[in-house]
Amino acid sequence: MGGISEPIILALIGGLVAIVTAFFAAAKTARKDPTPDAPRGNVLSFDATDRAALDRLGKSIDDLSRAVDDLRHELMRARP
Amino acid sequence: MTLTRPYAPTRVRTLEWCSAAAMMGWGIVLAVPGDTFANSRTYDAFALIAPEWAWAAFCVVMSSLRMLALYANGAWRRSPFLRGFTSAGGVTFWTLVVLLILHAPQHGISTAVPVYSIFVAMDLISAWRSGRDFIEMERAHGRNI
Repeated sequence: MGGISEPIILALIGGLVAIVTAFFAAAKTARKDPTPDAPRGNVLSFDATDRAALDRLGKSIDDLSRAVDDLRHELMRARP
Repeated sequence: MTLTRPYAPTRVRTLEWCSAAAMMGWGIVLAVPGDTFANSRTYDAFALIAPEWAWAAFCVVMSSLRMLALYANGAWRRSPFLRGFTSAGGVTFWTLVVLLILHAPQHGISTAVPVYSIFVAMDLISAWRSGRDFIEMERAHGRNI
């Protein structure tokens, strides 16, 4: 095993680098806040006109968020 | 108002499927009857670390876990975590393969080295995507991260 230990150690370091990479990606994503004042993760842009339209319908942003969430869960269940 | 598509983990996961399939192929080739390690001196260093069946078992188990996570995708909340874990396993495995091939007593560098090096890079990219998907998936399930 003498000359073999070096590749094993380097490979394990490679695995650690991958884990650190995954953590870094997670931390970077967590820092990125979804659009404020909008249903999280679902809406890219949401302006005053949209808010007025929701008001006319008697719906809130939370209603919209819940509706999209429901659809998302349905889609996820339908995915292979 | 622009509605995005509902979140689903990275849609293009071809890299991960390719890496998992290659590892599964390794496992199957090593598992079938016959002494693959005796075919070439390239495998001398592999045999010093573990017997052929152990390499086969590692490849089959790791790639099966990965394929399960990829198949479940968004249907299982923890799939990005398992994808990240198996990506790290993939980086470790392919790095070891590259280094052991370089370690083999032969003239010049094998053409396998650049090929397997690309697998290392692919799995690093996959680890990055899994980390990102982990947070997005938690958000999709209502966790305020």
